[in-house]
Order: sequence, then C-alpha cells, then structure tokens
Amino acid sequence: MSEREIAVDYLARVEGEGAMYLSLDGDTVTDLQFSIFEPPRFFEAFLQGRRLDEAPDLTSRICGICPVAYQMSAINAMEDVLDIHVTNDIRDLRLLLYCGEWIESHALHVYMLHTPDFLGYESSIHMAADHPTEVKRGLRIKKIGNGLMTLLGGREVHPINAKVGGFYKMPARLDLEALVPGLQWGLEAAIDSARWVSNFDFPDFERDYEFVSADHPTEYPILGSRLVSSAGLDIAASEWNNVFEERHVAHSNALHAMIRQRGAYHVGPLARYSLHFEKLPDHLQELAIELGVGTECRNPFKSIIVRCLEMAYAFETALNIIERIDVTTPPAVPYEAVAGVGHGLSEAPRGLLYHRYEIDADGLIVNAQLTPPTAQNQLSIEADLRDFVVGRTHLPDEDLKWQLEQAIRSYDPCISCATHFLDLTVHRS
Amino acid sequence: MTSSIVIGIGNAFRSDDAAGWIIAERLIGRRQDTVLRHSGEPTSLMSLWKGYEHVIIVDAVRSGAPAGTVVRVDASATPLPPNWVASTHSMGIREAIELARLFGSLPKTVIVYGIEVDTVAIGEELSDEVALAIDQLVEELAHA
Repeated sequence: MSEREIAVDYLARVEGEGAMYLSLDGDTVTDLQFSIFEPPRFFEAFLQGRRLDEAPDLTSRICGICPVAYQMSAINAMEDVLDIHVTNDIRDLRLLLYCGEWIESHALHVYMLHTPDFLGYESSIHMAADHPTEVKRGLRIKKIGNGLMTLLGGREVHPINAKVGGFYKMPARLDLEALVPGLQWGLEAAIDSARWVSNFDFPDFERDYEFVSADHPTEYPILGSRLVSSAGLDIAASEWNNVFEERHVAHSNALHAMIRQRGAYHVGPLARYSLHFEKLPDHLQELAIELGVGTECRNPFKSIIVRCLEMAYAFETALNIIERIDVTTPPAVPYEAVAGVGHGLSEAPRGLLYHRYEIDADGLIVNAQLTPPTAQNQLSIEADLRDFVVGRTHLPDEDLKWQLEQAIRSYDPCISCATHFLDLTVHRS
Repeated sequence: MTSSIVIGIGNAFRSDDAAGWIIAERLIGRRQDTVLRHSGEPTSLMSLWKGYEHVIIVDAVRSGAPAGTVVRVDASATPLPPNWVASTHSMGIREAIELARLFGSLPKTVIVYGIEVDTVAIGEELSDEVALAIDQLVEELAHA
C-alpha cells in the first residue's frame, strides 16, 4: 500500500478545538498525535493573588458543560485547606446540583454527539428527522437536568449559588418537590435510553486500561476525597503529585497527565463503572448485566451505555436526596482564612477533576493546579487510536476517519477544559 | 400586538463572543418588546422562545468573513449555513433552530444577526471591529 495521510480539519461533536494526526506506512502506524490547539490555559496563573472564595466561580468559567465539577473540586480543595466540614444537607445539595450536571452533560453527549456516530448520521439534526421520538426524549432529559441546575445554581449554565462552606441559599422545599415528577420520568427515560443504545453495533475493541476514579465507601463516586485505581492505587487526594505527573509534549497545548513509572490511565464513566459497579443500585446492576455490559467494561465505544446507566443513577440519587434533605438547615458553615495547601477531587461527567491550591494567611491564592479529565485521558486516547487502527488500515480514508473520530468521541473529550475544534490528519506512506 | 423577543447570546468572558450579550444589555429600555441575554444552550433556548411569534437572535459568529461583518439570516425561511460556528461548544442556536423546525415548534419569524468575531480567547476585551459593529447594530435594532 502506498503512503497515505488522512486529515480531519475539524472534528465535529466534541467540546472545543483540537486535532488528530495519523501517519501510516502500509499497515504500520508511524506517527499518531492527539493534539489540543487552544493556547495553554492561563487560569492557573490568573488565579494567583485572587481570593480563595473566588476560585469556585472563576474556575467554573473554564467549561460551559461541566462548571459544577470545577466548582466542586475547587470547593473541596479550599475546604481541605480550611478544615471545613459541611453538614449532610449541604453535601446532599452539592450532590443534587452535580446530578443536574451529570444528567445535562450525559444527555447532550449520548443523544446529540455520540448516537449519530452509531446510527450513521452527520449530526443530531440529520438524525432527528428519522428518530424524532428518541431525539425529543434526549432533549427532555437534558431539560430536566437544566431544571435542577437552574433551581440550585440560579441558571442552567455557569451556576452561581455554590460557595466555599456551602451555598448562598437553600432551595425552597416546594420548588424541589415540583421537580419530582420530571425526575421520575427521567429515571425511566434513562433506563429506556440504556436499552436503546445497547442495541447499537459496537466495534470489537477492548483495552487493558488502568482505571482511576474518585472513591467513596458507599456511594458510586461523584464526590470523594480519595481515589482508587484498577492497579491497586488507594490514596488520599493529597498524594496526587506523588503519584501523577503532567508532561508537556510538543504537539499539544494541554499537559499530558500520567502515572509515574506506569504511564497512561483512563478516567470517566468506564472507570467509575468498572471500579464501583457494586455501588450502583441493584436494579441498575441487573439492567447492566441484562444489557451485556458486564461488571466491568473495557470497550470505550460502550461508554454510551454506561453514560445512560449513570444518567439513571443521577435521577435516582436526585430523587432520594429530595426526599431526605432538610432545607431549613443553614446553607453554609462559617470559616476564617488560614494558610495552607488543599486538594480537591470530584467526578466531572467525563472523569476525575483534581484541584490543588496553596493559600496564604490573608486567604489569597499563592498557586493553583487544575488537572482536567481530558488532559488525563489524552495518552489513553492516543493509545486507543494506535491499537484501533491495527487491522483497519484497509479501510478507505473516509471510513477510517469516521471510526477514529467515533473512538475519540467515546471519551466525551472536553478539549475546552483541557485547553479547544479538532483537526484530524492521517498521513499514509 | 404581536409578541416578540430579542435574545442576545454570548459569553462575557470570551472577548468578541460577548457581542450578543452586550447588544442585549444596550437594548434594554430602548425597545418595547422583551430583551434577554442567554447562554445559547439549545434546550433552554427552545423553551425560552415558546409563546413568542417573532424572535430576533443576536450572536457572535465565526464563518471566515472579515471581523465585524454583520450577517442577517431569516432563519424561519432558510437554515443557518452549516459552517455557522456560533459557539465554542458543539451545540448552539443552529441546532436549536433546526430541531425546533423539525418538531414544528419554531416561532413564526426567527431573524438571526451574526457578528463575525476576531478573537474568542479568554478575556473581556472586544476587538475594534466588533465594538464598532455592536454600536451600529444596537442603533439599527433600537429603531427597528
């Protein structure tokens, strides 16, 4: 086979701008780079000298899809510095807000961004003409997520109610209860979604990832202060920099995160699912087994089924919280600034998000470190693509491009977070 | 009187992407109809225009034209062009309009004004071309 180079100058249906370059010599991959274009994020430098209480709202501006994740990881880190312990009701309200973000983000990815790949449509608009019922269902699910975000966060994008120590105000019980019928419908709709997407054709492709996720003793992780991996890591967030490192590579503006001495790892729905399957409600475990996902899932394409299961989990969690939360308790706990270093974790819809801050005695940020999920998955994405190309080099460029884009989209990459439109280039030689 | 709404879409922290927001801000009190700022999130946008017969949307756009160029599209008659990249995100007003059209929920008239951006980098500074285009479009819409 002659030299070939395949280029996708704009990868649609991912959040942000980036590029992929693939060079083939016959059937051999000679080069593969998943790159991110947007200039390096100035956020870490920009945060220096700002007040600690500004970090949640400032960092939430990094992403329009996962602002709650940024708020929560920032808040967790600041509360670690200040040794703040919030009430169960405040923690519940945080989880409830986070459920809104999981629902919104997963519904967008499953229905608008990823499903068109499986059903062979260029976009959700093209797909909607043939599958109006499903697309309407996806939009309604997303809208219910928006509703949660609007009630708890003040608006559906870039919520503003969460703060270090808790919230500015508690929601009214009547307003929470008004959400219940929608959430009940959403739980069933998420289960229907899981059944629907489980019938798609999935490429026969699995990889031996090291899965990494936040950990909680009893809950399927959304919030957590420790992290675990499938290779036996079980550490506090404070040990992050002892275990992980971030390296700059020439072809990307985002730092590549890796585990020291081991390399690539995988964060996101597959990691959470495979590490914490037994923490899902029984009926969702049964559904997952019935749908053939297994107790762990190493096929990145099947992440679409796991996202639907996680949407169901988020709806159910939201319903449980609304039932038990006492909204008459104080919305926040008071605190005073102290100097120190704090570490915060939480599970953004697309994976683990780590924040570290050093604060001075006046409560000003001395330095900040933000490690977003897509930066952590970059190496895994490249490794997936290298493996995936093997045995598929006979495909025409257009088909190969389509499948590679689909593989990248399995990660729901938020390239805006990691730094911004993906160009895909394949060079054959 | 028919119901109408002006929706300015943008991101105040992304340089020229703030154009729609700024125009909406400046039109408040200068028009008889409802003027709102919005993030451009499609599902809530589709709810927002429900009940209105006439909708004017103002948004920043990146189509390759010179910065500050203002494009007016009657979206009730023709779809926004496929290269209408109006958001750093992958779902935006184009999806909202086309899905609504498909589902029969598009308002009677939807006019979209797109202001070609120069930069959407993180920051609060507008480019000179976009600042000028904003001034001109505010005057046009204030008297429309």
